[in-house]
Amino acid sequence: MKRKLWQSILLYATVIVACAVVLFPVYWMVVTSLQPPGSLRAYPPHFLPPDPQWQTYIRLFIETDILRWMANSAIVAVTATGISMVAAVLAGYSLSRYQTKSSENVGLFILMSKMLPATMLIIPLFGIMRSLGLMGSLWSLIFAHATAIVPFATWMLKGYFDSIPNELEQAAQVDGCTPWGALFRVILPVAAPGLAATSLYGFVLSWADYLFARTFLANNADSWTVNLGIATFKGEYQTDWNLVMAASLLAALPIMIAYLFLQRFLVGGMTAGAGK
Amino acid sequence: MTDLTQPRPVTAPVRRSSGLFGIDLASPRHARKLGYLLLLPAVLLILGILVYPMLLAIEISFHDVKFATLSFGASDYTLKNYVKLFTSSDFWNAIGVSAKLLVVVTSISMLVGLGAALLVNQQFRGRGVARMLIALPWAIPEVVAVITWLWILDASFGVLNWMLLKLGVIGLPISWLNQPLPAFSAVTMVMVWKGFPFISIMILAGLQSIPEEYYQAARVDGANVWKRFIWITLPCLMPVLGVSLVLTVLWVFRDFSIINVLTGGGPVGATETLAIMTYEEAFSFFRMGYASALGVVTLIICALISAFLVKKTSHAVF
Amino acid sequence: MADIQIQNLNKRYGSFQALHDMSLDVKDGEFIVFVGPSGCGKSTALKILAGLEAASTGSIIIGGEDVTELAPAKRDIAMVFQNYALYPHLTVRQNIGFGLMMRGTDKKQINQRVERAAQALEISDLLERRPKALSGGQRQRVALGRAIVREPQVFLMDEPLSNLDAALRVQMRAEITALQRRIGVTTIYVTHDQTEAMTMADRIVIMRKGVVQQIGSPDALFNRPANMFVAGFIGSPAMNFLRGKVQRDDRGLFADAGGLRLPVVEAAASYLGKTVICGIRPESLDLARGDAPALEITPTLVESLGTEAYVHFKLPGQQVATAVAGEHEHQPLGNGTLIARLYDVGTPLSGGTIRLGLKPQASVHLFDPATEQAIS
Repeated sequence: MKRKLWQSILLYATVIVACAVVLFPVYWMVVTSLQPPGSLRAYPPHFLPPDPQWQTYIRLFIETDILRWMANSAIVAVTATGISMVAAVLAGYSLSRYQTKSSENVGLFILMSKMLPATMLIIPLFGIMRSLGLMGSLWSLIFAHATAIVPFATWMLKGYFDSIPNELEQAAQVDGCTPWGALFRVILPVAAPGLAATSLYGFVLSWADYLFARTFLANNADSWTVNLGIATFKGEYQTDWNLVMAASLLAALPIMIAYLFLQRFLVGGMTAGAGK
Repeated sequence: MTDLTQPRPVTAPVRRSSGLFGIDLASPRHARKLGYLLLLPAVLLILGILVYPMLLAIEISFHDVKFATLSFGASDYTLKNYVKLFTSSDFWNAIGVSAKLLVVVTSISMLVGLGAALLVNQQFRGRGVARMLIALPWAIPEVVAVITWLWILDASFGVLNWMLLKLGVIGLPISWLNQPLPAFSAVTMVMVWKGFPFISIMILAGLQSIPEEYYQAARVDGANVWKRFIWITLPCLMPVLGVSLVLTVLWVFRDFSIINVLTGGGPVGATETLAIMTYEEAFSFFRMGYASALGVVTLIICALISAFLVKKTSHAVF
Repeated sequence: MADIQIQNLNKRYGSFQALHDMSLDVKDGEFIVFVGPSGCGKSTALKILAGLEAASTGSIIIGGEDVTELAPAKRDIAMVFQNYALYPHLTVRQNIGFGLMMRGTDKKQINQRVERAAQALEISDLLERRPKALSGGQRQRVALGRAIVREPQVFLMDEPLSNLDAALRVQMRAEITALQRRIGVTTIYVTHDQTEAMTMADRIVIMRKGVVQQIGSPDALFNRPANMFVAGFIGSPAMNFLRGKVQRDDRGLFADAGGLRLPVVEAAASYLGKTVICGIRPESLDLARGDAPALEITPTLVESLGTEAYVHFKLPGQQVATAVAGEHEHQPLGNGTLIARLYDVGTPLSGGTIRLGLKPQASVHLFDPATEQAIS
């Protein structure tokens, strides 16, 4: 089926308009961050910065703790993703391979736990973290994030493991592997794209969190994550939109980059467990 | 031909003993035990950080307390919180706002998500890039997204007002966050922008798993584009649509960050959802018992909605 | 290399009995084929032998050692899977050497042995490729290489040829048999294809619904089937079953099957005057000569294969439909159809009636209509 010319033009036009609309806020972040405050009040607004200013970023690094916030976010996201991946890989594998009636129930239980509203859990968690002395510590966030990631990650990974034939680890076991050996030497390398997609999901979830950070870390500015930092910072620098946008862009950058690299794995991974 | 029947080379002696507590988990007899062992870390995490707090929250909701207690039965049980809840106009307002937001945001997001997925599922050059870009908002943290939108929506210098004025849609700049309807619209806009990419990603994967033969067969049978969409694409997408719907509903219903940073629930409660109200009661007014009761109600509603949706879209493996 | 004893093996999944009291002695170096339609328990038995599934009761002894509770890794067996189960992330060389590496063989020796195995299977030039870049036949060879390189006590093969096209299957069938004869490793081979079983096995174990039906050499199964299932499963086209009344006249005991006089064994004397089921292989029928007693039939279909022709016909009231079994066991379809396999037929057969008689030396198999067991 060959497309007619007008159909092609229409298609490309639609794609370009759709992408432009969707990406406009990101573009606007970049444009704003490169203009001095005065230029931002121009009417009509500048859609291309007349005189791009990189000083905004230098000012950001000097005047704010953005680098530390980003480092905190990175520590939390990496550790939480790591912990949750260990738990989710094992659980997903178990659900995929050792499916019995009771393990199906466990699977359901894991998914049900995704239904719990965070705004409810945070009330007792606030008390728990305080009594454990973890208030203001990154560990409080790490545990909360890890647990928040586990249910969906388990589900995604189960889907991936389901797509790998059973015979592969049976062959590995006959070849001399223990069940552990078969998992680590054969199944995990084969499931690498799934692991990448799931890790990305976990990383994005952790990096984007605001609720837990705000509740657990608010009183210790040293441990602020980037979202918490920016939200507070926006309150202080109300009108310096160039500075706020520069900080926002930086905060979004790591996961945007990770997303651009791993996006192709994500498409398969999200629904790996969804339909048969 | 090579001779394979030479003396049997010495292979390493097979290890005999091993395993945990003298149980060889590799033995076929114990495979199931290994299965449960593997579930343990995830289950422990979930028990410790989801289930235990959930039980605590339910417990707290039956006590008249300002702060969270960590043990059960520490003080007298009371239904005070629930009574107060169901007689409070704020609560019913929050229910209304949540419901309105749920319907509006979910339906728009599903439509936009489906449209975007169908669009980038077409054959064209640059499709890979388009797929990547159109779902980019998924990767942007909610707080960052909201702050960017705050600037776009800025009443005096925001670019959205300028565009709408230029297009003649509005006569005067809108003060987006200070009036109920515009504030609600603003929340909807941001949530759709942030929420549809996930749906697109899911649907796109679903689309790719529909065998091309179905379309060819339908074409042979004389089905046009529209008929093919109704009779092949949609039915094949049902599981994915069902899962996306449930996940989106849960997200809209429970999300905190977007509304908190964008409007804080205002103006005059126009965007105050159950989630926002719960958090406010707990951490602004320190009425943790009352807030927990709100949380429990939220949980029950979530459970009911998803049970209903799962039943309606029972193809979904959920 | 070792002998294997399977003793009273049972496997239950809940209330479903997948394997019923299976016992078998396998001699060292023997090539045993488990055959039967899917769901007959052959694959379950193989998985239990491999240690991939636990037996409910019973035991397995390989080379004098009870391995029932041992992990697959400790049984010193090698297995070839239906889908080959090659490790997609490893090269062919790494795939073949994987088992040796897991057993701590040193690198140099692994390389030597991998290359020797590759040479034997003529895949030396594929060693650096990944499985994705191989054809089905090549994958099959790699899977075999992975098994032989370990020089295990036992080979287990689970329908290894069923993913290949017909021509390649015939070739690989011969190669596997030759390979096994050469290295002499005790082999258990699972298939649903009776041709594979007949051509490859020293002894065949034919199974149905978890129960072993008969154990014996291909000749024994073909010539002395223990029951109607075995008789119908082995041989292609399948045996015809006709109802016949046992009678005696001056020429001896015979069964009268719709005008055809079928000489029967003396053991059928106890059925005198009763109806039995007579099994006649399609090859045993021929055009009747002269005025010999014969079946007058009208072919419903004639399939000509050049040197031979399959004549399909029906004998209402006389024929017995049995479950058709290949990979899947089908319920008998209506009355089914009978087939005569005729060689060197000069004249066209379609249209009109023809007269079929029994070949002079052909044997007739008798079965009890109630128990379906052979009468002998």
